[in-house]
Amino acid sequence: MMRAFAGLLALVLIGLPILIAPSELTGALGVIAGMLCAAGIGALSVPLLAAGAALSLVVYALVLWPSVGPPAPLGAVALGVVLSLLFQVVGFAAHFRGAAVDSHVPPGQVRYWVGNGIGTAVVGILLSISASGIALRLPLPAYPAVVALGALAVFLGVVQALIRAPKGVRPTSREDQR
Amino acid sequence: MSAQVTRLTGPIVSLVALALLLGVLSGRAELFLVTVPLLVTLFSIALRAGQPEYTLTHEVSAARVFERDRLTVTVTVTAHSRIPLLELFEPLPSTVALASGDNRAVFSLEPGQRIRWTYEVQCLGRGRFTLGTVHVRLWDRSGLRLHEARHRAAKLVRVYSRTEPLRRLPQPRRTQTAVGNYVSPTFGEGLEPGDIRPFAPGDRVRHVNWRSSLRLGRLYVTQHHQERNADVVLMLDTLGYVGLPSASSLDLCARAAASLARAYLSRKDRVGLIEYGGFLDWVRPGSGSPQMERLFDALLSAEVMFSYVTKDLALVPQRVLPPQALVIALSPLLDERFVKAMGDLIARGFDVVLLSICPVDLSRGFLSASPVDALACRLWALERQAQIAQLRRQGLVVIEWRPDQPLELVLAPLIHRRRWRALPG
Repeated sequence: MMRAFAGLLALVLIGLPILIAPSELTGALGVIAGMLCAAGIGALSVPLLAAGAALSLVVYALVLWPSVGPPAPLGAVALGVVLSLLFQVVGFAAHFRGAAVDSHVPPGQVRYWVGNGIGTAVVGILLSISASGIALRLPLPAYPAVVALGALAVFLGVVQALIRAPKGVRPTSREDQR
Repeated sequence: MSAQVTRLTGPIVSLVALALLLGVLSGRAELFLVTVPLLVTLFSIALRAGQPEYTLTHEVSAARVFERDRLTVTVTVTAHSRIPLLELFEPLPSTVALASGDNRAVFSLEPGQRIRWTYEVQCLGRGRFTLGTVHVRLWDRSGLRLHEARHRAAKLVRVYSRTEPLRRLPQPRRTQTAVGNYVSPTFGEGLEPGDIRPFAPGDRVRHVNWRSSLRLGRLYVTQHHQERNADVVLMLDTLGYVGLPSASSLDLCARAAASLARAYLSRKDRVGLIEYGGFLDWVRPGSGSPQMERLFDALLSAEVMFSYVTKDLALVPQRVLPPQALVIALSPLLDERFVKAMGDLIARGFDVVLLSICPVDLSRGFLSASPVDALACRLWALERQAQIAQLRRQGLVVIEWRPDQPLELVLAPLIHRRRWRALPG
C-alpha cells in the first residue's frame, strides 16, 4: 500500500517535468530517474530514492532552462510537495518495515501527510505571491536573487535548528524509578 | 532519552541544496519554489520540540519454565502527553523464538491513553536468559526527528530441561536403609512375603501363617521382605558435545538426566548428580521436591568447559558417590577421559550403567549429504561400535541411545535384564 502510494508520487515527480517540454534527452533522463526511484521504493532505500529525485530535479532544470516566459509557481510548489511527501512516505515504510503497526497509526499518518501537503503548498503559494509583489517594484534581474536570498536564509535557519536540536526529554518508567 | 535527527534529513537537505544550485545556475524561480515545501517540513523539526512523557512497565508471565514452553511478554505504556509514533522493540535472546505477535511494534497515543503490547515467545533450549530491555523510539510524524530511550527491567527466566515420563526404570542392585519402593532381599517389615519360620516369642499374631500352622501342627509366621530405597547418582559428561544448539548431545543427556532424576525421586530414592567435565561439579544425593529443584538447577547450568586437566573421581567425596549407589552415566563417549572414569568406577565396585547417545546420528543432522561425509560417519560409527564392545568386555553395561528413540524404549532391555539380579543390600 505504502509502496503503491510512493510509486504514484514518484510517477508525478518524474512525469511533471517531462510533460512541460517532452524531448529525447529529458525522456531518457526521466527513465533513469524512474528506475532509480522504483529501485528506491522497492528496496525502501532512501539514498536510491534521493538519487532518482535529484535526477528528476536536473530534468526539471533542463526543461526550464530554455523557457523565457513568466514563472509557473503552482507546478513548482506541487513538485516540491510531491517530493516532500515521497520522502516522508518512503521513510515511514523503511523505518517501520517488519514491525507490527497498530491499526490507529496509518489513518493518523495519512491525515498528517494531507495536512502537511496542504500547509506546505499554501506556504509556497503565499511565498510566490509575496515574491511577485516585491518583484513588481524591483527590476526583473533582481527577482531570482531575492528568492535565492530568502531560500538561503530559510536554509541556514533550518541548519541552525538542526544543530540546536532538543536534547533533554523526560521519560518516566516505573522500573527506572525503582 | 536522547533526541536526534534521522537519516532521512540528509537526503532532503541535499536535495534542497541541489535545487537552490540549479535555480541559481538556470536563473529560474521555480527551482527555488520547489524547495519551499521541503524547507517547511525541515522547519517543523524545530517547531515541534515537545517533550513526550510516558510510563512503561514490562511483565513476563513466568520466571521458570520448561523447554518448548511459551512465555507471554506484556508491555504497558501510558502516555502523559501526545506521542505521534511510538516504536517499541525488545531484542530476544538466541534461545527463544517468537511464537505469536511481534517483538517490534508501532503505536500512536493520545494523552492519557494506555496500550498493552503482548507477544509470546517459545523457549527452545535449557538455560538462563534475561528479558526486559525495551528500546523505545518516539518518532516525529515527518520521520525527520526521533527520541530514543532504553528501559531496563531485567527479568531472569530459567528454562529447565523437559522431562519425559518413565514408568519403568533400571532397578538398583543394592538398596539402602531408608524405606522405599524396592523389595530388599533382607527380611523385616514389608508387604512382599518371603519365607515362613516357626513362631518365636515377640512375633506378632497378624504374621502367623494359619494355613501352614494347621498343616504342620505348630505355629509358623510369614517373613516379609523389607522395602527399601536406593541411591542413584547421575553422571553427566560435560567434556564435549556434538550437535546443534538446543539439540546437542549435552542437551539430550541433560533431558535424560532430568527425566531419570524425576522418576527416581518419585520412587523415594536418593538422587545425586556429578558433572564430569573441565570443571567437576556435583549435587549430593537427596530425596524429595527440594532435591529435584537442586538437580534441575544444576542441569540448567551444565555446560561444556574444556580443559586438558584430567579430573579424578577420587576428588568426589564419598557422601556424593555412596559405595552402593547405582551410577547412571550419560555420555556421547567423545572423550577418552570419561571412558577411563567409567573403568575406575567399575574397578571400585560400583553398579554402573552407561547410557550413550549416538553422536554420529546427531552429526548427520548438520553435515552435507556428500559421499565423504557419509564415509566419515560410517567410519565413526564403526569406531564407536568397537569402543562400546571393548567397554562391554570390561563389564560395563552400555545402552546405546539413538536421538530419535524415546528414553523409556532405550531403557527397556536393561529393566528386563536387571530385574532378578538384585544383590543383598
